[in-house]
Amino acid sequence: MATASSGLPVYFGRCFGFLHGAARSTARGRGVVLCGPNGYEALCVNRAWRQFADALARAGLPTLRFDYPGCGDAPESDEDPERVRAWLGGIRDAIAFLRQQTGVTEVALVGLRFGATLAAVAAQELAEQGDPVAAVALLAPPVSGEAYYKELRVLAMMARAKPAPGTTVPHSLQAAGFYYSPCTLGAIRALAPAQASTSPAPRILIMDRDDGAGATLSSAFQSKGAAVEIHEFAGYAALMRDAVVAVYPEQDFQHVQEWLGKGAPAAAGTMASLSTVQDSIAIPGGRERPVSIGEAGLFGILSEPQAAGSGGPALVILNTGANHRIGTNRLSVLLARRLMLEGVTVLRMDVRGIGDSPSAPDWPDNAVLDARMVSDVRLAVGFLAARGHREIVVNGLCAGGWLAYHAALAEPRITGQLLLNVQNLWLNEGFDRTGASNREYLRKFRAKETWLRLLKGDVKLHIIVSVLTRRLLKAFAIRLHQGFRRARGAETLADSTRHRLAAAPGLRTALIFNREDAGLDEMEVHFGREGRELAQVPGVSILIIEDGDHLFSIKSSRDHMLELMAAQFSQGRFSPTSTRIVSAPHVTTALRSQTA
Amino acid sequence: MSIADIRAILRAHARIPVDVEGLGDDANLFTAGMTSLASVEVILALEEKFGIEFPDQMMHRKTFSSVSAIAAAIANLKAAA
Repeated sequence: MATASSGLPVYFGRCFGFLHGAARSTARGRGVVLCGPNGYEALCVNRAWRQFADALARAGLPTLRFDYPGCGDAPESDEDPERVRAWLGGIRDAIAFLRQQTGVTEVALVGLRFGATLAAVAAQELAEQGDPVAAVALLAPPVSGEAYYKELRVLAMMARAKPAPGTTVPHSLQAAGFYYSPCTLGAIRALAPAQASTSPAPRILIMDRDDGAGATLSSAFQSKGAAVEIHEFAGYAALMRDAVVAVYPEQDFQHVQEWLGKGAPAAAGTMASLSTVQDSIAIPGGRERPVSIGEAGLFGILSEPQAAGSGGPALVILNTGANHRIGTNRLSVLLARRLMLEGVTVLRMDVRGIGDSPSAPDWPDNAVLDARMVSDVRLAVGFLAARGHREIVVNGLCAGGWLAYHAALAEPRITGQLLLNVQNLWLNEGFDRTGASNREYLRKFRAKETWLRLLKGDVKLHIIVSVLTRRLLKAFAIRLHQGFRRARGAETLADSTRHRLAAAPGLRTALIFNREDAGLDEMEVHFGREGRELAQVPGVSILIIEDGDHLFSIKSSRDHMLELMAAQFSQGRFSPTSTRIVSAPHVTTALRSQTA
Repeated sequence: MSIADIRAILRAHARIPVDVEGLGDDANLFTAGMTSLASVEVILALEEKFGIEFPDQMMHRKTFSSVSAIAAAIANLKAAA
């Protein structure tokens, strides 16, 4: 059984989670199940949720946080049927597992956002069956499933990148990179805890985010006999942001913790033997298990193909920004499971300070683009090498690609790198990357719609022209500077990149960009159109996907990218396909409001 | 409906890393740091505050790209009601 620095990683039912046990001396007889939010919001709060679970356990409340079936590191997918029923079943499984493992005599549920809706409904179902939970805390709950559905719909419509009309399943949604089938949406909309005939629990706490939901839910639950407390969720806005900047709501969570502890009975049960905990799970094509990496105790999930021979290819997937190892849009989980089918062993990991890895002593939590993290990648490489892998490839999207690149040049045991929409590798002072990419601006420039809107006065064309002119001049200045340096016999940034890659023995490199990604602009400034001067380096290939957005938030482009990645391993080893342009249809990028 | 009301909603929900008061009425809110997720809260709060519902054809980033764009959208909806 692998150990994590914070909580014990466990599988139960069709869920994956962390069990945060309380010390024997402080343990109470009440346990807590944390029902996390859904989709993009789950990425925002992962590390805060972990910290909260630790705090509850320290206060004597054994706590289980978990991923619902088809979410996070759990098995299954968002395309499977009956998702809402599976998520509600996950909460029941979590309650049963917590009771069995810790011996608590009663359980409280804490739900955040849509997790609050699920927690309330699961608790109501249990109450109706005569097996109620002791208390329920609802943090920033939507007033109903219908209200949450509306939020998802608006979120989907406000996205920059949208699926092209007619290319999606009718009545499905793609919101912030997560897919909701018509069946899932129908079930979400049907959830209405305020309309149920029972209260979720005798005691209810609502941490309200000032959208009116708290008052409605409070009134409904009070009418069913519950004692309800409403408290302002003051730190909500600072918490629910991109993981890089999300702030732990210390005072709010402290209040929830104290409320949960009130009236908790003394511990009566006994801990089950943890050796009975399931420490791996079957996934189509192989198994997944949590692992602890190196002396730093980094957290990762290892996906091992069924037919893995000793020494087969292995891939390390690094964090995208400060998002935990599942990746934006759960992309890293999908990639690991797709490559497992190609016989690749995949380790998706958290570097220190991110996700479920411990904090680093010398850099802050949720940091990105920090070269000191190379040491963590080296630990992962050592972990895989010790398991017999001789072909070790590192992979990352955006900032993850940046780290992969620096690790590949520093660690000779890395034999390949697969960099997706990598940025910041070749920045120069004054390089302007704000706004859309060059190709996105040019596409808009050529679009009939832009000119029609221009006639109506809706488009400020001078902004596009001004940005492109500024960038063109900057690119020209950089190329001129390159010429001067070379004339003086000095090395440019582009030269040193080529030399370092050429000098790395046996290192194969695949750079994959979406055609409109800003990272491609950055590369082209230094290496010419489509990076041709870089592609001339032996072992380097550049693949440009015609369409898609930076984070592959559209399902069709995501699916296409997964197949493209699988093709890089199609011969049982990492063998990048030669430089070329590939098509990924079905994606359009909405006109950026800046140009409007 | 007043510009001050719109700004108050933006202050509460837009999660822009700079002071909303420092942004001009035409300043682009997305460029200033408003995310899609935050814009959802802004839209819901605007609907609640002004007793309106934005139709699907108005649900795109341009409608909510600046204080003045939001004010114009609300005025259009009120006029059509």
